[in-house]
Amino acid sequence: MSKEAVLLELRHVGKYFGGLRAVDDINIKVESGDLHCLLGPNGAGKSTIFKMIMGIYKPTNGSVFFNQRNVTHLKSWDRVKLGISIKMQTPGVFGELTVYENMKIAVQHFTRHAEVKSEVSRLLELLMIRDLKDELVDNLSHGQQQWLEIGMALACKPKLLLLDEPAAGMGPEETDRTAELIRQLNQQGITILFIDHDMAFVKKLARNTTVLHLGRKFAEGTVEEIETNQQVVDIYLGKS
Amino acid sequence: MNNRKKRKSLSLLLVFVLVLAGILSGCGKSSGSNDDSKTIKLGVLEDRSGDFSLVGIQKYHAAQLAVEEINKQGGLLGKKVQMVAPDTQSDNKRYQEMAKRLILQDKVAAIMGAFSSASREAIRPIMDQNKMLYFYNNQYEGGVADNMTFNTGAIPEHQMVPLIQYMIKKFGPRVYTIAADYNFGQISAQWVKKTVEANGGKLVNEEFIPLGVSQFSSTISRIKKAKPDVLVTLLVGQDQSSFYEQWSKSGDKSIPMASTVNMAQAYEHKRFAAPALANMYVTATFMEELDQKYPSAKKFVDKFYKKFPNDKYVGMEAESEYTGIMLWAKAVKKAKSTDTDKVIKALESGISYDGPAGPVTIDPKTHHAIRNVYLVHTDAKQKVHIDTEWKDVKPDWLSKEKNVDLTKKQEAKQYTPLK
Amino acid sequence: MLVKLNTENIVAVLIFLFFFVYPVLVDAYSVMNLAYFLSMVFLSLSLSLIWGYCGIFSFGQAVFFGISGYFYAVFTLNSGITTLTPLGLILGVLIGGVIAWILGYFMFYGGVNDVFVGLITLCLTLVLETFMGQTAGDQWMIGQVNLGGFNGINSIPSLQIGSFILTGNSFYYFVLLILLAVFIFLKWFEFSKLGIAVVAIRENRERTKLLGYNVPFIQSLVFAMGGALASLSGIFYVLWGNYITPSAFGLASATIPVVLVAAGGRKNVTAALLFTVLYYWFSQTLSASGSEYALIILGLVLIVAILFVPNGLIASLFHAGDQLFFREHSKSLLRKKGAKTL
Repeated sequence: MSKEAVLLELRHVGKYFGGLRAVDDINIKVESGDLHCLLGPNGAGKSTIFKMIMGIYKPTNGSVFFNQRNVTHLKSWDRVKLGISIKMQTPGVFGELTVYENMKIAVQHFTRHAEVKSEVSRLLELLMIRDLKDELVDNLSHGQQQWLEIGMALACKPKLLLLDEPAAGMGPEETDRTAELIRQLNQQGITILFIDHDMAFVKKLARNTTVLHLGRKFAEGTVEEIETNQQVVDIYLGKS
Repeated sequence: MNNRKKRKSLSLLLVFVLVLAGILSGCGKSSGSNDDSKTIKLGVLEDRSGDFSLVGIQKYHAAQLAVEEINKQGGLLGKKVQMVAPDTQSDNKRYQEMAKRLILQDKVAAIMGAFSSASREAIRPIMDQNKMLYFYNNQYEGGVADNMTFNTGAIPEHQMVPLIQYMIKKFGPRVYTIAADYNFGQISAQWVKKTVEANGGKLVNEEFIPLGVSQFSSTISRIKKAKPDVLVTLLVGQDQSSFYEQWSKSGDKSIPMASTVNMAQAYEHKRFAAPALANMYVTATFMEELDQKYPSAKKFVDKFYKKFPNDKYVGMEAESEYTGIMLWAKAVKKAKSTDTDKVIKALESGISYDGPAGPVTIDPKTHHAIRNVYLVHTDAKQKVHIDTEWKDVKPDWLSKEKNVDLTKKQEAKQYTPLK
Repeated sequence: MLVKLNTENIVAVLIFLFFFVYPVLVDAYSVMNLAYFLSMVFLSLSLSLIWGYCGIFSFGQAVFFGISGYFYAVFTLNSGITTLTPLGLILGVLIGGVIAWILGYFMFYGGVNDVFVGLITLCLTLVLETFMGQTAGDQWMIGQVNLGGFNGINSIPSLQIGSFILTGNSFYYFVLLILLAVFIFLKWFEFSKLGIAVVAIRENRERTKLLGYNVPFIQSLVFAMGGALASLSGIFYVLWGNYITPSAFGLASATIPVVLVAAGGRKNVTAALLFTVLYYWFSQTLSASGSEYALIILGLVLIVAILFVPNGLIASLFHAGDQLFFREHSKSLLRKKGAKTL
């Protein structure tokens, strides 16, 4: 792949918490336009990598490149301004505010004042929660909260969207809608990097995958390649 | 669910209204201008709660005693004296609020009050601004020259000078001072230095301890190493008073302590277990224990405890307050009026009151008191022994060294030894 | 912007009407007394802003209160020119804001938050109290003004605009007008773009960073605004009483505003204002009555308020009022339901 096509790159990224090795010597390249999944059992280090991409954690060693730019030492909010956005594993929404207010907080920072209202409406519509706009977020279902958070993550008009378990806790119908949404976003040109456990979901969605095990990159490739990799099957499949 | 919420809100509102009504009704007591023709109002600002309440309560009770006696003897100018006494809670802001209230709302004829110098300085300008006669009946570091202010308490000329002279003569010239690191401690220490040098002594060291410090091990070793003849202690507050116990355990028992602060005000010798305050020499304008020797003191102590049987001690500042009110009453009678200018003139005419501590006369030039000073010391069991007395000690530093004459000049400031 | 019709706003209008009419109803002493209460309201409002809106828990508002009070004293006493007193006021407020900004910079950019801000600001105020307390000697002079140690500085000049000295009613209305302006500003601010970001920081600070907001910058800015408000309070206090001591930095000065705002309702400026005035009036009445239980009663009231009504006594009453009279059931903290949006 050409150099310009690589949107996100992690080079020799490692993270140690005191003596605990969370991840070690991670090298990942994500092409622009990709729908990429980070796979691996619990504790493999996936969320840690997400946090390092967003700047919540600083890597103990290695560098993070976004759009060929070294962002390793950049503050989180500056990375958001460059075009990386995230939906975290635990809901990062403002529970005691309404859905509308939540979206407004996200949107007002990246949209001209006159267009805020319409942009909020557009995103709420996209995320299928327009009818809930005056509800308190704490009253929403887990799935609806996650959609809201994805919507908020879209407000900054990201080039790269990180989704940590986008369908967690959702029923089959919601899961399908989520998958459709993610595909739609990818078709609109957003590069998507997501973490998930559900192999069916991953198969439906991902184009490329990276498999992590015990903090190290174990394997990478398309979904078909991973599926037929015996070692991956051994360490990973069999978990729900 | 909706009804329950509504009922909850309603009851909450009801409770609020009731509480508000209760507060408003319960607070109509104190203030409001009474019938001026029947009473003379005397404002009293003392700390009955907070850090200074140990002394504040004594002063408040002494004021009550004085006013009761005045009224028993027919009042002033044919009218009863009514005390208006808010609790200033050892809080400077409270002093400001209540002083303004007494002056502008209650319209008192004069104000007695304040313990700490800070609270005095908070209200002294308010008295000046409003031409209110003000008595600061308390020991302090001296130096206030103010036409509106009168002081019946002890100042360095009364306490420090005789004490240091006596101690150097009796025990030797080498003096070590430990003092609280703020205005009162610093200025008192300046007076110690002044007096030591004027009497051929030597100040071996001066240590200033921040307020709130309660660990003195390094101070104690320094004192022991210096081996002074006299240890002057000018410590203030609960925390600093831990020094005495630590000193009695690990200090040098042969070194006598000298203080102008302790015993006579907050009765440490009764509150701390012996021998923490043993071997301490104190000069005071009054102490409860003077009743051992002086009939006037005994008379006062007896009637104080008769009216306040549950009180723990009646000390120096209680007597100052009592005497201050009596002097004011005498001046009002002499002036035949409560008009401030007339009463001040009467006070400046050399007026004198023979009180619990002997005769107390107002020095016209400085508005401070000419009065007796007594020296006592505690033995190993912390029992108080009266050693000697100085009669009619004059508060003349202001007039001699700073040319203060309040009968001729308008002034409203506080002088310090170095300025 | 349309003002929403709810219990809080109605009460606010009534309160200000009452304040404006007050001098006609009472004597000169009561007017100056209320002016003193209103001066202390600014301190509570500074906490409403930084703690209520932004979630910054500070025991240090007394720092700016005291520093600006002392600054005004030293500046005006040194200049000796009474017409320069307004400059003392303006500079004092600016200095408070700048110092708050610097303190905020070191704390928030250093990642210090939550309870640690409370600890640091508390330490700072106590250090200042101790330091100022020992400035009694003559070496502690700035220009011709002795800092005075524990005795403080008195005879500080009142504010003079041109040849007009602000005392009595004129001082009262001066404070009241500025209070009204600040109050309106804070109500507007809550729904402004910056205000919404500030509330987001309060609700979930880490998440707000991930939405692209430079959180430490906004925190420092808000903290500076809070510092300026606390400074305003300090200078007004000095203008009322012409006196300042290190007790302005003391434990009581540091903690009482926090307790008042907590008990009244920290997220609601009207609640903070009303509770502060009521508290000062109530505690003063207790003190005047000489009740020996005054301090205990006050303590109990505050403890009960915070224990049983953690959202704030007055704020809860407003909410109850909304439920009863306006059938308002939305618990949204920005309370935008039913109102036209910006």
